[in-house]
Amino acid sequence: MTKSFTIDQLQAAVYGDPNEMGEAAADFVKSKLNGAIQQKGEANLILATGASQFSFLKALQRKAIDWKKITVFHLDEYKGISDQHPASFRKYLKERILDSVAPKKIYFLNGDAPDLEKEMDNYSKALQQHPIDVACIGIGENGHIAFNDPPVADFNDPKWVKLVSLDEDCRNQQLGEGWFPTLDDVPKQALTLTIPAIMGCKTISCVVPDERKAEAVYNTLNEEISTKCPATVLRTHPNTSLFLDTNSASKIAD
Amino acid sequence: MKFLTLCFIFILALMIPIESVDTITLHGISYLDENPVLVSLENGKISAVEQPNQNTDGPDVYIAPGLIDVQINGYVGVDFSGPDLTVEGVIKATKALWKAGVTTYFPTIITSDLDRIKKNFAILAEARKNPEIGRSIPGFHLEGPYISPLAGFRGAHLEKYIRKPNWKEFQELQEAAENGIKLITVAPEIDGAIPFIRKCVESGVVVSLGHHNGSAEQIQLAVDAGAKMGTHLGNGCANEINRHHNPIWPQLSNDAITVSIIADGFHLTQEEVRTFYKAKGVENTILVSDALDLAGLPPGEYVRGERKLVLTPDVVKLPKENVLAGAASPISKCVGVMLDYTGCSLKNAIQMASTNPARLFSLYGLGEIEVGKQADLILFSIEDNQVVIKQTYVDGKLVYKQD
Ligand SMILES: [Zn+2]
Repeated sequence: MTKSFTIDQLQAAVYGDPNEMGEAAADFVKSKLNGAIQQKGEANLILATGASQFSFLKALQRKAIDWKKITVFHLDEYKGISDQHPASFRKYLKERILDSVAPKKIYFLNGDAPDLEKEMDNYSKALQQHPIDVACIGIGENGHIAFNDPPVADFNDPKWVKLVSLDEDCRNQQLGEGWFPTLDDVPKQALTLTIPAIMGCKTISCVVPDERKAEAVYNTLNEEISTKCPATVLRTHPNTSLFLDTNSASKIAD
Repeated sequence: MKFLTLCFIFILALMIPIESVDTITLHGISYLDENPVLVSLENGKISAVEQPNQNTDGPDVYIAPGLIDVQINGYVGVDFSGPDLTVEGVIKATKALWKAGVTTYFPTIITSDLDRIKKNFAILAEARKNPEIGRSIPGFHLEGPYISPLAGFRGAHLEKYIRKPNWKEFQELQEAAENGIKLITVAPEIDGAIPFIRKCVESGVVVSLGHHNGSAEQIQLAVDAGAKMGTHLGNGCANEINRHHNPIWPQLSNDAITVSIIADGFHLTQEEVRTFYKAKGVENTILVSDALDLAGLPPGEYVRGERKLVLTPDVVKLPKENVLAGAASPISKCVGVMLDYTGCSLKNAIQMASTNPARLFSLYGLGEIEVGKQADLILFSIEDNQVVIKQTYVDGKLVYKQD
């Protein structure tokens, strides 16, 4: 770690490179999961996707965690793409962690379900029945958390899961990370956990590496708390840790 | 006015063609809580799970996810390691297993001549492409040839074919299997086993420790390298072992290891089954049949190679020595033995025979009755702690109905 600091209630730490950052976040999540398992025999976890989660997920699956006691949810999924699509978040999670750790139970958010209302309703109910111990999230280039882009983010959303239109910046980021061949291929809508659903989690671990995110990180820490930069809301959560690397932290004053 | 509108809607409704999607609704008793349940199947998937109206009397059968057997050497005379294996044979065995409630299985090839292993994996890989039965075979189990050569520990595996782990050689087998080998049983104490295990795990193959005499340290090293399972705990082990230092205690004590057990009523005593179940718990135990190809055939005398074998209704014996030669019970039978031996709930017994293997091998669509899961289901009764399969559904289609 090169430095750590606290802004409002948000604890942040900067690491030398993405691997160091991923290790630190994985240790943090491990201790929270194991704590929950010790207390109540099981734990509930939300995982995020995207290029920013690579090093963290790689580190997490090597940690001593009894995955047989862990129920896993995830943050979001594109509307209308199958779990075989190269950009599917379900496919991503299966290949990058779930296949190898084999958790007790996984709730997949099926963006291609024939009845999306029913799918979101079922997912909301499952979330309500499994109070989340740790939510692992990232921050988008536009400051989004999950798919709560600035135009659709709502800090007082009555829903747990909703269907949203993706804004242009968000869709460009997905294209830039190489998940789709052209902008037209990036779906225009997605299912996402809402901001209250994320803020209701006991602990939040937010992992944000890379130069591309420097602006969003700066805004998260310095802008006024509003949906203009949805991630600013994390500063009001009592138990959130933000893991950065020197690149994503490059715009923060020393 | 209101009446007219209603009439109009009614007429409209009559004009809309009924959707061509067939929905089957099964009525039974849930294996989870023993309450009545309605399970609807549509397009090969479970489309609804509901409580029936209180007044409807349902049939007196249990309903559970189809069983999953990750160790089975053959069935109805089809030997997955034998010289005569054909695609037709695999299809025949699969359909016969459906009748026993097994909707998913890993054909298991044991220690044999390398060319035979390759040839048979290629046949299994071909069989997996069959549209009718392919989905019942999500992977294969390679038991050996990298196991202990010591008598007792090697069990029925032929010493002359037992080998040292060799990653390149394994890759060739995997290639012949078209990447179908999802589970390998290895002895952790033999030369080169630990790096070999690590490579297998990295390539996505689940490693199980079996037919071994590994020490506590060697077993721990294998777990650190990513091994997750113990193969048929209590079998594939010498008759006389050290009371302190033996391969069983470390596998029982280590929560990172899920053990498979042959609870057929013959391969383990009731006390062993109860002890293993108590020590490992429902989460860390899975049931396997380890059945020989004679399973599913009528009792009688059979010749295999140069040996004469006797199939009783429960087990295969060598008549001369009157000792066990292998298992002959599909895991539906083992579910009944678990209920009988341990007094566990039906929910737990099914978890060990379906939900746990689905989880361990990332078979995401299987092992549970839930909306969106694959419609692989069994309907059965329990008579004197014996599971009697009444109906089997694979991919939403009725594939077996008891006469
Ligand atoms: Zn064996």
